[in-house]
Amino acid sequence: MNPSREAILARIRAHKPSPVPPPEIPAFAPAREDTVAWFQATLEAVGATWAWAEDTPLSPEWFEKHYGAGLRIVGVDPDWAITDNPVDSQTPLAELNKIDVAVIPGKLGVAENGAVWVDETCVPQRILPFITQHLILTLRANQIVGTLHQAYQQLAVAETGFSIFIAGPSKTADIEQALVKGAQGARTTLVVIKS
Amino acid sequence: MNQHATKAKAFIQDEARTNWHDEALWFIRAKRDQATALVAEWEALRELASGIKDHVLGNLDQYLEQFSERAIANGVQVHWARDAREHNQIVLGILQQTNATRLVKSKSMLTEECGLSDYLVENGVSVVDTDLGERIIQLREEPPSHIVLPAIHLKKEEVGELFHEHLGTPAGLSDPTQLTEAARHHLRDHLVGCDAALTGVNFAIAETGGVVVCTNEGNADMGVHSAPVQIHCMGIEKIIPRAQDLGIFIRVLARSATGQPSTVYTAHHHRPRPGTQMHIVIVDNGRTEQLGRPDFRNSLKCIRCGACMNTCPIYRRSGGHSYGTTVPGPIGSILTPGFDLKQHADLPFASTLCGSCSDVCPVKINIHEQLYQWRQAVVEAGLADPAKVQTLNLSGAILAKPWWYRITGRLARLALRWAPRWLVYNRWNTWGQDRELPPAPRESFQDWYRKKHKA
Repeated sequence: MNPSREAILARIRAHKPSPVPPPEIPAFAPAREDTVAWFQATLEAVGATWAWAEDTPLSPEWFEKHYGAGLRIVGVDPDWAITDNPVDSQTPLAELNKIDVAVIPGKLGVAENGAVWVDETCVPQRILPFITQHLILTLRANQIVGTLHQAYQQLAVAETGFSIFIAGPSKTADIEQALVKGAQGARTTLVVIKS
Repeated sequence: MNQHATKAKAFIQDEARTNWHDEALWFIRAKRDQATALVAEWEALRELASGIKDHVLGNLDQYLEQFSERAIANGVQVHWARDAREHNQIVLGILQQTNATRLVKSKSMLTEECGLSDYLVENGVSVVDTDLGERIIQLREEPPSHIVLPAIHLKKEEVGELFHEHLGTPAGLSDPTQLTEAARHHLRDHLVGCDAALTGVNFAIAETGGVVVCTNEGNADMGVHSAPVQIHCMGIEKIIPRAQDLGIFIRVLARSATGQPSTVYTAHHHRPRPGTQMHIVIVDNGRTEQLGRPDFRNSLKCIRCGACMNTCPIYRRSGGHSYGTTVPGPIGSILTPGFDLKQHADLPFASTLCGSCSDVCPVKINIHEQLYQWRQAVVEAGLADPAKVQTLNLSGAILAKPWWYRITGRLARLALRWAPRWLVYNRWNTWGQDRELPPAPRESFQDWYRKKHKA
C-alpha cells in the first residue's frame, strides 16, 4: 500500500464534513432555439469564422485564395480527403510542425460557446489541431446543440484517450490585456458546416 | 507582519500606474458581468456548482479512491503527495526514470505553490513555462501576480525590453501582437523538442478517472501531445463526481475568469498515447488541514477563476505581489492563513469586507465572511498588529461606559479644534497620514438631538 495515499485518505476521513446529497441538475432550456445561427454568432464572437460547406470547395484554388500559395495542407476529414500530404500516426513532429492548414472533422458543436468536439479518432495524431498554423473543423448542422449540458449528455468523455472542445483560434491577452490571436496553437479556426 | 500594507504602499507610489492596474482589472470584471448577464440561469449555476462541491467535500475520500482506481484502469500512473516536498520528489523521480531533462510546463498554481521549478532546476532539469504570461514572469524571475493573468502587473514596454534581452526582438518593440509572435516561435522550439510536459488540472472526473485542462493559448496541448511523458498535478479538491458536472463548471469558469463563454481549449485526458506515459500526481499540502476547519473548509471549493481578484478594491490597488503568496487577493487571503497563520496574519486585514468577492464567486464561497473569521483567529492567536489591538481595546473600554464615552468625545472634539497640528497628525494617527481629518463638530449627536427634541 502507498503510505501517502493512506495518510491523505485517513486525514480526509477524519476531517471531512458530514456528506450532503448532490444537487439535481435541471434541464436548462437553451437561450435560443435557432441553434445553428446561435452557433455561428458565437463563433464570430470568439474570433473564429464559419462557412457553409457548399460555398467552401476546399479545392487547391480555394486554399490558395484564402490561405496563400505553396502551403502544406493536410486533410483528414473522410468527406474531404486531401491526399497530397499524408499524415499518419508515425509522421514525425518536425514534419507536423510544417503543416499550414489542417482539415479535421468535428463530432459535435456547442452554440453557447462556439466549441467543436474533436476526439482522438478524428485525427492521426493528437497534436494535429494545435500544431497546424490554421485549423479547419467540419461539422454537420444536425450535430450542433445549444448548451454544454446538452453536449455532455450526448458525449462519452472517456470513450477515447483524449478529446477536446475547441472554441476558436488560439489566443492570449497576457500582454497588457491586448487580445492576440495565434498564441501557440492554430492562428485561425474556420468551422465548415455541412447542411 | 504588515507585509501587505508595506508592499501595497510601495505599489501605489506611482499613481498613474496604480490607476492603470486598477482599470485593467476592472475591465475584466466588466467583461465578466457582460458574460454572466447573458446566462439567464447564472445564479442557479452558481448554486449548483457550490452544491456539487459541498457534496464532493463530504465524500472526498471515496471520490478520490474512485478517481484513482479508474485512472489506473485507464493506464495512468497515479501518485500521492502529502506535501510540496513529496510532490516535487515525485515529479523529479518521473523525469529521472524516463531520462527527461527538458520539461515544458503549462500554467499550474499548484506547482507554483510547491516551488517545483526551482527544485527541478537545482536538480539539473531545464524547465520552460509555456503560457505566455508565465514565460514572461519566469524570464523576469518573479512570481505570478494573478492566478489567471500572471503578468497583469507589467506594461507592454517592459515585456518588450525583456524579450529584447532574452528573445532578441528589436529594441523598443512593444506591440503585443509582434511580441506574442516572437514568443510563439521561441516557445514552439521548446514545446516540440521537449522530453516531458506538465500541466495543472482544472477538474478531475471521479467516474471516468480523467482530468480536464482549460487553456486559451494551446500550450498545454502542444506540450502534452509532443512529449513522451505527460504529467498532470492536482490538488485533492479538484475532484468532481461525474462528466455531467462539467456542464456546470465549464459554463461558469471562463465567464467568471475573463468573460469568455469558455476557454478556447477544454481538453479531456483519459489515457496516454500508445508508447507514452501519463502520470497524475494528487497533492494534499495542507488541504486536509483546511478540510478540518468548519469555518474555512469551503474555501476548498475554489476553481481558481480569479474573479474575486478582479473585483477586489484592495487587490486592484495593491497588486498581486503585495500579498506575498502564490494565490493573492481575497481567495488567497482565506486560503493562505491556513498554511501558516503567523506568516500571513496580516492578509485577512487586506480587505474592506465589502463582500464583492463573495458576490462574484462562481462557487459561492463566503469569502468576505471568512476574512472576518480569520481576523478573529488572528487576534485569538495573539498575532494581531499590537497597535490595532491596543486601539481596539481602548475603544472597547470607552464604548462600554456611556459616561466615559461622552467625556472622551467632548475632550476629543476640543482637542481636535485647539491642539497644535503636530499633536494630531503624528505617526500614531495612521488615518491622517495621507488625508485630512474632517473638521470636528462643535457638539455631539446626542447634544444636537436633545436640543432638537426640546425645540
